[in-house]
Amino acid sequence: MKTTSLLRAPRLVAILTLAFATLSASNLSAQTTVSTEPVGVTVVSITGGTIAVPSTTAFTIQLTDVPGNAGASSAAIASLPSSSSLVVTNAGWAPGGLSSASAPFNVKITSGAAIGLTFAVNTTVANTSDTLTLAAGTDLTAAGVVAGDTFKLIPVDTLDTLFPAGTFLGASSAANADVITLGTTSSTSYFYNTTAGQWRRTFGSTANQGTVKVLPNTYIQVVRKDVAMSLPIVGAVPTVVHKQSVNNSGSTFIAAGFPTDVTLGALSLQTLLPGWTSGASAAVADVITVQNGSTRTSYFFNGTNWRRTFGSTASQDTVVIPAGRPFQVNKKGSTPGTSVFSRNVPFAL
Amino acid sequence: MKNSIKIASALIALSGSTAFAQVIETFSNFNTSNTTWLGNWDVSGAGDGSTQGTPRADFVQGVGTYSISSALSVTNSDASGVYVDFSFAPINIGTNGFIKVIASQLTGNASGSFQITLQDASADNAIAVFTTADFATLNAFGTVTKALTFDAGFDKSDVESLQISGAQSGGTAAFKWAFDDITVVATAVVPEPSTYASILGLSVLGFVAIRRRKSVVAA
Repeated sequence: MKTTSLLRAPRLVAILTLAFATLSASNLSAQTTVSTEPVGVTVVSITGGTIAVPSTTAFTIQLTDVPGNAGASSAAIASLPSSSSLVVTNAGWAPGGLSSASAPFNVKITSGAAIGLTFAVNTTVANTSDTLTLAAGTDLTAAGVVAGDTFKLIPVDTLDTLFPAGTFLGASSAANADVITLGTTSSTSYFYNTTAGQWRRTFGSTANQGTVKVLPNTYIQVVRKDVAMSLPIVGAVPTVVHKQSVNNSGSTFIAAGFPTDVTLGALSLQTLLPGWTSGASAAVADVITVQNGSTRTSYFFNGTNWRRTFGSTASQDTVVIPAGRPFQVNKKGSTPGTSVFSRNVPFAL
Repeated sequence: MKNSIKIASALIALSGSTAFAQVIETFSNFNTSNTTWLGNWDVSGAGDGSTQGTPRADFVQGVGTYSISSALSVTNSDASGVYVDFSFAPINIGTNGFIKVIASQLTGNASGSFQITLQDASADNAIAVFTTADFATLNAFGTVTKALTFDAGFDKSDVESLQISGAQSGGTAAFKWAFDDITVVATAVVPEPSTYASILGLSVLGFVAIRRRKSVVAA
């Protein structure tokens, strides 16, 4: 495992263990209840392949890492000195401890009008003991964040932290190595270069890609050229509304937000994503594509039901998007900007 | 020969087994209104399934065979392929767990494999991958049977589509294959027609023997 001044416990566990569910304990005061987020493990099964005949597995991460930073990991915002920074009184953060590119963080708002929104912590502007700067372009005010709102810190995985050397088949070239593709609004592919001892792009830049973020609820594809394997990933179950930005035109990879199966009908993307275009055919309607291995199946909403873009004309409302399966939203037209897909917690805590 | 196969199938069925060979596609009239061409297998080069598309002009419909081979860029990308819909009459493949493919690798093929996908009404898949090693002799049809890998929850009684693709993420290798019959079967070893005849013959012989014993007893 790569050694840095900001060590993170590996999220992949060699031994499959089932962690504890929600802990709820009463202290000596009968009026006080302390609870923690449920923590669990999901196991991603990667299909085996060979260099000649690789296999394809697509998945997403829906359990968030548990913070282990010095100082407050969740708090109320005391003030917003700028549109992209926030202050927490007596946060006790280690200066620079939350702004490292090799161990990045996100801020997830947990109360107020902006609940569920996630922002990246800036990795070029060091945090102080009580002030956190978010990524360039962040506008907390426009997003509806105000002093008094609460948030939590979420450690963000990188290729190095989530998939350290030896996790996948590495090689001196991408042709002989497992290829990992990460997608949000576009996709980029990587492999572990064993000669260089680092993650590299499959083409283009030859720089070290180990600090590339592997974001939750986005597209991860493994083109596997070795035996089948399992990836057990430990993390916290999301407990607030899931919100994710979707491009108003073109393609965005997103996920349902929670580690449970959901049917197309129950997901109600046509309702939960503002600006969704329904239509009589896939030629005019927005489309959602779900990948299963290397097979992609696409659907559109005809105003009444979800339908396949070709093939069966039956309602597809009961088709299940399995937990941990990302999907691609393809929006017609050329409207600029983004809209927010917002989905409430689908289970009782 | 076909009648003997049907009778043998009936005998197997009468024995209580629900496994008998089922032809999924004969390729005798492949491009129909139920066929959708995807990716660079479509004449546009980018079939997205919003329309059925049109196969490349130089794909060849033969007598009971269909060649997916073109002078243009037709690749083994997972975004390209052909989809045959029979949701109007879904197939019950019973307990069959293998798929038999008669195919031929063609001159100029650079793809290492092709994937056959059966899909049920819930979009669960059953897949089998065939490689160039399975069909090593160019331009000669061979028969290979492989086990299907089923998604958990795959409904064998409600199979509604077949897809053929090179199935390689971002694949750019030239795809040149010809197909003749895709059949789901119960085992990896499928009796040859002559074997079916033997089974039928033995059954008839057994019937005759019983009749003779009864005749002897009567006498």
